[in-house]
This record gives sequence, C-alpha cells and structure tokens, in this order.
Amino acid sequence: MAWPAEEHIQQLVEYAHRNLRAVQILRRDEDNPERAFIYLEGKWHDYRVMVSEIHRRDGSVRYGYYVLDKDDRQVVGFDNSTDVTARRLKYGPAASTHLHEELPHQHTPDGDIRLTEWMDFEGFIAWVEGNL
Amino acid sequence: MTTIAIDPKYIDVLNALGNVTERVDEAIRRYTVEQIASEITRYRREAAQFEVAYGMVYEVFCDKIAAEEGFTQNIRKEHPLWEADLNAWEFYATGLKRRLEQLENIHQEKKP
Repeated sequence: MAWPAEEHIQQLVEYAHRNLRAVQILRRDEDNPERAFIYLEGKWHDYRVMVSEIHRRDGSVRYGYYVLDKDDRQVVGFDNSTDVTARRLKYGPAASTHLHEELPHQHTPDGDIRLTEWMDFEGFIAWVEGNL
Repeated sequence: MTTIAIDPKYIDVLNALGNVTERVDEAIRRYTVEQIASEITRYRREAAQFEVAYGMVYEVFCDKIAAEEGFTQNIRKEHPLWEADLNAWEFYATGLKRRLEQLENIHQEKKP
C-alpha cells in the first residue's frame, strides 16, 4: 500500500501524463512514511511546464508550477515559497513577524508578484487552459 | 519495546552464541546504523549539488529568501526556477538532518 504522500505524487504524475506532452520526471524521491517530492517537466502546446511539490511529515505541501516560453522565459508561475515580497504584500510592515510563512502567490512575466489562493496541480492546469 | 517473531531456525544458533535478546538487539542496531549511514551518504551527495549551485547551505538560503528582498530578486536572475529547486533541496537537507539525529540517538543509547 502506498503512503499518502507517495500516493499523491503518483496521482500527480498520472495527471501530468494525461494533460501534458513529453512528461519527464527530473527528480523524485520518497522517504516513507511521510515525505515525498517530485520535480517534473512537460509540454503544453509550445510552452514548457515545470512542476514541483514536496509533501512533508506534518502534512504541509509546498508547490511550484511554472510555464516557460520557447526561449525559456517565465510566462507565469504559481508557488507558495517563503517569498519576502509576498509576505510584504500581505503583512506590510509586520512582514518580519511572519518570517518563514509560506504564502501562495503568482509570478507575472514582468517580475511582479500577486497574492493568490492556494493552488494545486489540477487548478494550475485549469488556469493554463483558461488563460494561455 | 516491540515484540518481534524470530524464525526458530535462528534461535538455537543465537543461543549457542550467547544471549538471544542481546544478539538480536545488536544485529538490529548494526543493520539500522548501516541503513542510516547509506541514506546519509545519499542525502549528503544530493544536497551538495544544490549547495554548489547556490553557494550556501540550505538553512542559510532559507533565511536569506525569507528576509532579504534583494537576495530573492538577484537569485531569480541566475536561477529563475529556484522555488522548484527548493523542494528537492529541502527534501535532502532536512532528511540528512533527521538521519544524523537518528544516528546520534542510536549511538547515545549504546553508551552505558
């Protein structure tokens, strides 16, 4: 029986194969029972799509989903890393009191950051299909 | 303490070698240390790739991205997908730390 984190990663890989072309697993590892990560890439039309998730022992997940154009410039990115700019956008002067908080945000092509709702891989694919 | 069933074919041999419980305990300890050491080597090797690429250890990198806006902007120029790297890096760096702690605990328990 697969562990929850491992099972989620497997489902993500299968979803990637159904929705992207030329899927390649760049890195994948599991440390049973609770930790696993995946880093894969695939193609969506002419775009290169990069997908990364880590599932931790405490049940939390950090994700990163990115779309690159054919010149490898970032078209859009969604992640919840501990980005200092994202924290400043959310908390203003109090950002330093939330030092390692992970906040969902979007990277725009011009380098800006916008706060977003939590996103998962399926939501990301839906966003790509609806916006690119 | 967890009870483990041992195949009877080993019991006579272990009895001949000494205290069965002590022998089994030592065998499990050795096996566990061997497995942990193997993982430590692998995790250290994987984490080192990111340390070379980013020029620092994982903990320092996390502190910088959490606190220095200029650092984040600069790192993005050289590593546009650093957030994706971070997940793999975290996996190996925190795994390495955990395994080292487990190894230390085993060695501590062995001491009289």
